[in-house]
Amino acid sequence: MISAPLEPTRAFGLPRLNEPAPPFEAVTTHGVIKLSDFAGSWLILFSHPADFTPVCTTEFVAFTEIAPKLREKNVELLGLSIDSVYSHLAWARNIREKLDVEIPFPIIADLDRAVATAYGMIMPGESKTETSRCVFIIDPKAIVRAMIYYPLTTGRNMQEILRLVDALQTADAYQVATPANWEPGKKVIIPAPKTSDELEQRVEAGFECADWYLCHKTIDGAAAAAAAPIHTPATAMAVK
Amino acid sequence: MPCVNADGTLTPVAERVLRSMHAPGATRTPDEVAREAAVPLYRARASLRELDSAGFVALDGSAYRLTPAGAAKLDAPVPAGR
Repeated sequence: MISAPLEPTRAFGLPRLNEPAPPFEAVTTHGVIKLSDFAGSWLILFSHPADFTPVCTTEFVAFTEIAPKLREKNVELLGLSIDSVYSHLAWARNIREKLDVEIPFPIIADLDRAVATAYGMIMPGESKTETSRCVFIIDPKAIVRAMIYYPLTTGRNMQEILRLVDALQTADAYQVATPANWEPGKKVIIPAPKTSDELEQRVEAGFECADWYLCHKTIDGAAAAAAAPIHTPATAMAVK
Repeated sequence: MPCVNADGTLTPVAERVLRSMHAPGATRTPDEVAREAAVPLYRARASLRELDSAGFVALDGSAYRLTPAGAAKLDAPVPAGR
Protein backbone atom coordinates (compact mmCIF):
# COMPACT_ATOMS: atom_id res chain seq x y z
CA MET A 1 0.00 0.00 0.00
CA ILE A 2 1.34 3.35 -0.99
CA SER A 3 0.66 6.14 1.37
CA ALA A 4 -0.17 9.58 0.13
CA PRO A 5 2.57 12.06 0.92
CA LEU A 6 1.99 13.93 4.09
CA GLU A 7 0.68 17.41 3.64
CA PRO A 8 3.43 19.83 4.53
CA THR A 9 2.91 21.52 7.81
CA ARG A 10 2.14 25.19 7.38
CA ALA A 11 3.48 27.48 9.98
CA PHE A 12 0.94 29.69 11.67
CA GLY A 13 2.81 32.29 13.64
CA LEU A 14 1.34 34.14 16.56
CA PRO A 15 2.04 37.75 17.44
CA ARG A 16 3.59 38.32 20.84
CA LEU A 17 2.58 40.77 23.52
CA ASN A 18 4.54 44.01 23.63
CA GLU A 19 6.04 43.42 20.21
CA PRO A 20 5.22 45.32 17.01
CA ALA A 21 1.98 44.25 15.35
CA PRO A 22 2.55 42.63 11.94
CA PRO A 23 2.12 45.36 9.33
CA PHE A 24 -0.45 44.86 6.58
CA GLU A 25 -2.11 46.50 3.63
CA ALA A 26 -5.54 45.04 3.03
CA VAL A 27 -8.66 45.45 0.95
CA THR A 28 -11.55 46.42 3.19
CA THR A 29 -15.11 47.60 2.90
CA HIS A 30 -13.69 51.11 3.30
CA GLY A 31 -11.04 50.73 0.61
CA VAL A 32 -7.41 49.76 0.99
CA ILE A 33 -6.22 50.26 4.56
CA LYS A 34 -2.77 49.88 6.10
CA LEU A 35 -1.98 49.20 9.72
CA SER A 36 -0.01 52.44 9.70
CA ASP A 37 -3.22 54.35 8.93
CA PHE A 38 -4.17 53.76 12.57
CA ALA A 39 -1.00 55.32 13.99
CA GLY A 40 -1.93 57.50 16.95
CA SER A 41 -5.11 55.54 17.65
CA TRP A 42 -5.72 52.33 19.51
CA LEU A 43 -6.96 49.57 17.24
CA ILE A 44 -9.06 46.49 17.90
CA LEU A 45 -8.39 44.08 15.05
CA PHE A 46 -10.80 41.18 15.29
CA SER A 47 -11.61 38.19 13.13
CA HIS A 48 -14.78 36.22 12.69
CA PRO A 49 -15.26 32.80 11.03
CA ALA A 50 -17.55 33.77 8.16
CA ASP A 51 -20.12 36.25 6.92
CA PHE A 52 -23.83 35.37 7.08
CA THR A 53 -23.39 33.16 10.14
CA PRO A 54 -25.47 33.57 13.30
CA VAL A 55 -22.93 34.05 16.10
CA CYS A 56 -20.86 36.41 13.95
CA THR A 57 -23.93 38.47 13.21
CA THR A 58 -24.66 38.92 16.91
CA GLU A 59 -21.04 39.90 17.44
CA PHE A 60 -21.09 42.50 14.67
CA VAL A 61 -24.20 44.04 16.18
CA ALA A 62 -22.50 44.03 19.59
CA PHE A 63 -19.28 45.57 18.25
CA THR A 64 -21.39 48.25 16.60
CA GLU A 65 -23.08 48.96 19.93
CA ILE A 66 -19.77 49.57 21.70
CA ALA A 67 -18.18 51.47 18.78
CA PRO A 68 -19.18 54.93 20.12
CA LYS A 69 -17.69 54.14 23.54
CA LEU A 70 -14.53 52.90 21.90
CA ARG A 71 -14.28 56.03 19.76
CA GLU A 72 -14.42 58.12 22.93
CA LYS A 73 -11.40 56.15 24.12
CA ASN A 74 -9.54 56.77 20.83
CA VAL A 75 -10.07 53.16 19.74
CA GLU A 76 -10.93 52.10 16.19
CA LEU A 77 -12.43 48.77 15.13
CA LEU A 78 -11.32 46.66 12.18
CA GLY A 79 -12.99 43.34 11.35
CA LEU A 80 -11.61 40.47 9.25
CA SER A 81 -12.65 37.19 7.71
CA ILE A 82 -11.67 35.04 4.75
CA ASP A 83 -14.55 36.32 2.65
CA SER A 84 -14.68 38.66 -0.33
CA VAL A 85 -15.40 42.34 0.00
CA TYR A 86 -18.63 41.70 -1.91
CA SER A 87 -19.69 39.17 0.72
CA HIS A 88 -18.84 41.66 3.48
CA LEU A 89 -20.82 44.40 1.76
CA ALA A 90 -23.82 42.12 1.20
CA TRP A 91 -23.75 40.92 4.81
CA ALA A 92 -23.48 44.44 6.20
CA ARG A 93 -26.39 45.46 3.99
CA ASN A 94 -28.38 42.46 5.18
CA ILE A 95 -27.69 43.37 8.82
CA ARG A 96 -28.91 46.89 8.11
CA GLU A 97 -32.08 45.63 6.43
CA LYS A 98 -32.95 42.86 8.88
CA LEU A 99 -31.66 44.25 12.17
CA ASP A 100 -31.59 47.99 11.50
CA VAL A 101 -27.91 48.17 12.44
CA GLU A 102 -25.36 50.08 10.37
CA ILE A 103 -21.87 48.58 10.63
CA PRO A 104 -19.59 51.62 11.07
CA PHE A 105 -16.18 49.99 10.92
CA PRO A 106 -14.22 48.51 7.98
CA ILE A 107 -13.93 44.77 7.40
CA ILE A 108 -10.86 43.21 5.81
CA ALA A 109 -11.52 40.84 2.90
CA ASP A 110 -8.62 38.50 3.60
CA LEU A 111 -9.09 36.11 0.70
CA ASP A 112 -5.40 35.25 0.49
CA ARG A 113 -5.24 34.84 4.29
CA ALA A 114 -2.22 37.10 4.45
CA VAL A 115 -3.39 39.03 7.51
CA ALA A 116 -4.99 35.99 9.15
CA THR A 117 -1.74 34.05 8.84
CA ALA A 118 0.42 36.92 10.08
CA TYR A 119 -1.77 37.24 13.18
CA GLY A 120 -2.28 33.54 13.80
CA MET A 121 -6.04 33.80 13.38
CA ILE A 122 -6.44 30.37 11.81
CA MET A 123 -6.49 27.49 14.25
CA PRO A 124 -6.13 24.39 12.03
CA GLY A 125 -7.33 22.14 14.83
CA GLU A 126 -10.61 24.01 14.78
CA SER A 127 -10.96 24.99 11.12
CA LYS A 128 -8.55 25.16 8.22
CA THR A 129 -10.76 27.50 6.23
CA GLU A 130 -12.12 29.93 8.78
CA THR A 131 -10.59 32.39 11.20
CA SER A 132 -11.31 31.90 14.87
CA ARG A 133 -12.76 34.67 17.01
CA CYS A 134 -9.55 36.57 17.68
CA VAL A 135 -9.15 40.02 19.17
CA PHE A 136 -5.92 42.00 19.03
CA ILE A 137 -5.67 45.24 20.93
CA ILE A 138 -2.95 47.35 19.32
CA ASP A 139 -1.77 50.59 20.85
CA PRO A 140 -1.11 53.96 19.14
CA LYS A 141 2.48 52.91 18.45
CA ALA A 142 1.38 49.68 16.74
CA ILE A 143 2.42 47.46 19.64
CA VAL A 144 0.31 44.38 20.39
CA ARG A 145 -0.93 44.94 23.93
CA ALA A 146 -3.53 42.20 24.39
CA MET A 147 -4.90 39.16 22.58
CA ILE A 148 -8.08 37.18 23.11
CA TYR A 149 -8.94 33.96 21.32
CA TYR A 150 -12.45 32.50 21.39
CA PRO A 151 -13.58 29.30 19.66
CA LEU A 152 -16.04 29.25 16.78
CA THR A 153 -18.90 28.29 19.07
CA THR A 154 -18.62 31.13 21.56
CA GLY A 155 -19.48 34.76 20.94
CA ARG A 156 -17.25 37.37 22.53
CA ASN A 157 -18.05 39.49 25.57
CA MET A 158 -18.02 43.17 24.61
CA GLN A 159 -17.92 44.34 28.21
CA GLU A 160 -14.69 42.43 28.70
CA ILE A 161 -13.21 44.05 25.62
CA LEU A 162 -14.17 47.49 26.91
CA ARG A 163 -12.79 46.61 30.34
CA LEU A 164 -9.52 45.44 28.82
CA VAL A 165 -9.14 48.68 26.87
CA ASP A 166 -9.83 50.68 30.02
CA ALA A 167 -7.32 48.60 31.98
CA LEU A 168 -4.57 49.05 29.38
CA GLN A 169 -5.13 52.78 29.08
CA THR A 170 -5.26 53.18 32.84
CA ALA A 171 -2.06 51.17 33.26
CA ASP A 172 -0.32 53.42 30.74
CA ALA A 173 -1.65 56.68 32.10
CA TYR A 174 -0.96 55.97 35.79
CA GLN A 175 1.79 53.34 35.68
CA VAL A 176 -0.31 50.93 37.70
CA ALA A 177 -1.71 47.44 37.29
CA THR A 178 -5.31 46.36 37.66
CA PRO A 179 -6.47 43.52 39.90
CA ALA A 180 -8.80 40.67 39.07
CA ASN A 181 -12.27 41.78 38.01
CA TRP A 182 -11.17 45.42 37.99
CA GLU A 183 -13.48 47.97 36.46
CA PRO A 184 -13.02 51.72 35.96
CA GLY A 185 -13.43 53.55 39.27
CA LYS A 186 -12.18 50.67 41.37
CA LYS A 187 -8.84 50.66 43.14
CA VAL A 188 -5.71 49.82 41.18
CA ILE A 189 -2.53 48.05 42.18
CA ILE A 190 0.78 49.78 42.63
CA PRO A 191 3.66 47.83 41.08
CA ALA A 192 5.74 45.94 43.60
CA PRO A 193 8.85 47.80 44.79
CA LYS A 194 12.15 46.67 43.33
CA THR A 195 14.47 48.34 45.82
CA SER A 196 14.52 48.90 49.57
CA ASP A 197 14.22 52.66 48.92
CA GLU A 198 11.06 52.12 46.93
CA LEU A 199 9.73 49.89 49.68
CA GLU A 200 10.35 52.55 52.34
CA GLN A 201 8.76 55.23 50.15
CA ARG A 202 5.72 53.05 49.74
CA VAL A 203 5.33 52.56 53.47
CA GLU A 204 5.60 56.31 54.03
CA ALA A 205 3.21 57.16 51.18
CA GLY A 206 0.27 55.75 53.08
CA PHE A 207 -1.12 53.46 50.41
CA GLU A 208 -3.61 50.77 51.37
CA CYS A 209 -1.33 47.76 51.73
CA ALA A 210 -2.12 44.20 52.74
CA ASP A 211 1.62 43.75 52.79
CA TRP A 212 4.60 45.45 51.20
CA TYR A 213 4.03 43.81 47.82
CA LEU A 214 0.26 44.24 47.60
CA CYS A 215 -0.79 47.87 47.72
CA HIS A 216 -3.83 49.58 46.26
CA LYS A 217 -4.71 53.16 45.55
CA THR A 218 -7.67 55.03 44.12
CA ILE A 219 -7.48 56.98 40.88
CA ASP A 220 -9.98 58.95 38.88
CA GLY A 221 -11.31 56.30 36.51
CA ALA A 222 -12.91 58.83 34.20
CA ALA A 223 -9.66 60.67 33.83
CA ALA A 224 -7.89 57.40 33.15
CA ALA A 225 -10.31 56.48 30.42
CA ALA A 226 -10.04 59.93 28.87
CA ALA A 227 -6.28 59.90 28.83
CA ALA A 228 -4.58 59.31 25.49
CA PRO A 229 -1.85 57.05 26.78
CA ILE A 230 1.29 56.27 24.91
CA HIS A 231 2.76 52.85 25.47
CA THR A 232 6.15 52.62 27.04
CA PRO A 233 7.60 49.13 27.21
CA ALA A 234 9.31 50.01 30.48
CA THR A 235 5.96 50.70 32.08
CA ALA A 236 4.48 47.50 30.76
CA MET A 237 7.40 45.44 32.00
CA ALA A 238 7.52 47.00 35.44
CA VAL A 239 3.94 46.14 36.33
CA LYS A 240 3.30 42.50 37.09
CA MET B 1 -10.42 53.26 -7.73
CA PRO B 2 -12.33 53.17 -4.41
CA CYS B 3 -12.52 56.96 -4.14
CA VAL B 4 -14.29 57.24 -7.49
CA ASN B 5 -17.64 55.67 -8.36
CA ALA B 6 -18.20 53.76 -11.60
CA ASP B 7 -19.87 56.83 -13.09
CA GLY B 8 -16.80 58.95 -12.40
CA THR B 9 -18.23 60.82 -9.43
CA LEU B 10 -16.45 60.88 -6.10
CA THR B 11 -17.65 58.66 -3.27
CA PRO B 12 -19.22 60.64 -0.42
CA VAL B 13 -16.22 60.26 1.89
CA ALA B 14 -13.75 61.08 -0.90
CA GLU B 15 -15.73 64.21 -1.75
CA ARG B 16 -15.76 65.32 1.90
CA VAL B 17 -12.04 64.76 2.15
CA LEU B 18 -11.36 66.56 -1.10
CA ARG B 19 -13.58 69.51 -0.15
CA SER B 20 -11.72 69.83 3.12
CA MET B 21 -8.62 70.52 1.02
CA HIS B 22 -10.30 73.38 -0.81
CA ALA B 23 -9.49 76.25 1.48
CA PRO B 24 -7.00 79.06 1.47
CA GLY B 25 -3.63 78.01 2.73
CA ALA B 26 -0.77 75.89 1.64
CA THR B 27 -1.44 72.27 2.57
CA ARG B 28 -3.48 70.06 4.87
CA THR B 29 -2.16 67.28 7.06
CA PRO B 30 -4.21 64.10 7.48
CA ASP B 31 -5.08 65.23 11.03
CA GLU B 32 -6.45 68.53 9.72
CA VAL B 33 -8.38 66.76 6.99
CA ALA B 34 -9.85 64.30 9.49
CA ARG B 35 -11.08 67.16 11.66
CA GLU B 36 -12.44 69.26 8.81
CA ALA B 37 -14.05 66.36 6.96
CA ALA B 38 -15.33 64.79 10.21
CA VAL B 39 -13.91 61.36 9.39
CA PRO B 40 -11.68 59.11 11.51
CA LEU B 41 -7.97 59.73 11.06
CA TYR B 42 -7.35 56.30 9.54
CA ARG B 43 -10.01 57.02 6.95
CA ALA B 44 -8.53 60.41 6.12
CA ARG B 45 -5.12 58.81 5.60
CA ALA B 46 -6.54 56.03 3.41
CA SER B 47 -8.69 58.43 1.37
CA LEU B 48 -5.83 60.87 0.84
CA ARG B 49 -3.67 58.02 -0.40
CA GLU B 50 -6.35 57.02 -2.90
CA LEU B 51 -6.95 60.61 -3.97
CA ASP B 52 -3.20 60.98 -4.42
CA SER B 53 -3.16 57.91 -6.67
CA ALA B 54 -6.02 59.40 -8.66
CA GLY B 55 -4.11 62.67 -9.07
CA PHE B 56 -6.61 64.79 -7.15
CA VAL B 57 -4.21 65.66 -4.35
CA ALA B 58 -0.44 65.57 -4.12
CA LEU B 59 1.79 64.79 -1.20
CA ASP B 60 3.94 67.74 -0.24
CA GLY B 61 6.23 66.71 2.60
CA SER B 62 3.96 65.31 5.30
CA ALA B 63 0.89 67.18 4.06
CA TYR B 64 -1.29 67.19 0.97
CA ARG B 65 -2.32 69.91 -1.46
CA LEU B 66 -5.20 70.03 -3.92
CA THR B 67 -4.13 69.58 -7.54
CA PRO B 68 -5.74 71.25 -10.54
CA ALA B 69 -7.34 67.88 -11.35
CA GLY B 70 -8.76 67.75 -7.83
CA ALA B 71 -10.11 71.26 -8.10
CA ALA B 72 -11.64 70.39 -11.44
CA LYS B 73 -13.27 67.34 -9.88
CA LEU B 74 -14.92 69.62 -7.36
CA ASP B 75 -15.81 71.98 -10.16
CA ALA B 76 -14.03 74.68 -8.24
CA PRO B 77 -11.01 76.88 -8.89
CA VAL B 78 -7.68 75.99 -7.39
CA PRO B 79 -7.35 78.06 -4.19
CA ALA B 80 -5.08 81.06 -4.41
CA GLY B 81 -1.57 80.63 -3.16
CA ARG B 82 -1.15 77.15 -4.52
